[in-house]
Amino acid sequence: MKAKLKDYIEIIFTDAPQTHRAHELKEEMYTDLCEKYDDLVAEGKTPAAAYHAVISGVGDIGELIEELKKEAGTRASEPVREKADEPRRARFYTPEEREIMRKYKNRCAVMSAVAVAMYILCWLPLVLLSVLIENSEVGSIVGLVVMFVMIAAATSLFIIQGMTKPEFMREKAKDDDDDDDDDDDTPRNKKGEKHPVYKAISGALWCLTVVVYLGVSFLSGAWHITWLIFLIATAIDNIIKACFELRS
Amino acid sequence: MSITADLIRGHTDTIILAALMSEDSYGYRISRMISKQTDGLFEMKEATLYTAFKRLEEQGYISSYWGEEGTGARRRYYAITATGREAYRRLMNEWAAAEALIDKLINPPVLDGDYT
Repeated sequence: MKAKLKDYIEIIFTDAPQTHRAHELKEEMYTDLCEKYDDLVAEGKTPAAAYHAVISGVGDIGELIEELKKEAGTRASEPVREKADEPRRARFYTPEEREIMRKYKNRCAVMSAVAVAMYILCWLPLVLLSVLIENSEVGSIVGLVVMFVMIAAATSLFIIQGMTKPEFMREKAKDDDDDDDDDDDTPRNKKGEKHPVYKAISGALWCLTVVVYLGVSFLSGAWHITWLIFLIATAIDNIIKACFELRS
Repeated sequence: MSITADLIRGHTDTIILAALMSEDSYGYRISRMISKQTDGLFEMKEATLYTAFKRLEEQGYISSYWGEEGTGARRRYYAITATGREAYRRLMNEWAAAEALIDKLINPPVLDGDYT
């Protein structure tokens, strides 16, 4: 129900300028309305009745929006221009959500940095081991294995990032997409929408396919047959796609 | 009721300043206090309340700050300033003068001998 309150606030603030002040006001209203809602429920109202009582008590905020607009307009025009570059319908976040978001972003930054470093350095063990170890065949096999492990680890870091993204942030991303699609609302956009996790896995799969193909081909020298790896990869990709479509 | 609400609306600022005279408070607490004081006969709309907060803050009658609550939720508190206290006293005097005047105007004049 509180999520509905939040949505309601978003709706009545649709015309408000995207200023810091408007953001604060939304947050202030959300905490106040939540407390009112809790009180009404504690008094014995059903959640639905409490929600409607809260909503009907808000009144017409048209004047307030006008004030906010005036305020945004009277400030020097530079900052307003800056604000216009912000996402069109920036959602406001509750304090808990902001905390989760901050943590998620920090984690993502670390994970991306490590993953990219691994991608960049994955050839190093292969080269070093083949140079350092006398028996070059063992060296190159070990190096290759280490390289694959590094690539796999780096790729899974990216996949984990996509999968652990908080629900409310995904919703926002989807909202934004919808906004962008408003002008050409063809069915293709709705149908061709790919699951983010599938996209990540598919991307990783094709990278790995190329690596496996080159690795196996160089090691075995069986170039005439190794291209089949691509057919296998296509099959795997489609199976994964089918799994996601069945699930949704 | 709606006429009463209209009459009261003209005094929103005074009501809010009065609520803040004794201690700092936040939006919902003030609106709850108002409906309790009037036994639920008058409820201030949130729209009216926040518009008034904004206006009073611009006039320098109140100031606001974010207070941290135990649960992690931020709450915007309002405090009355020295100019605000002055304004409150002035508004109270104005109200007393207006009340006396209106009382005189709307009470039917005592008919005396001149009209008969």
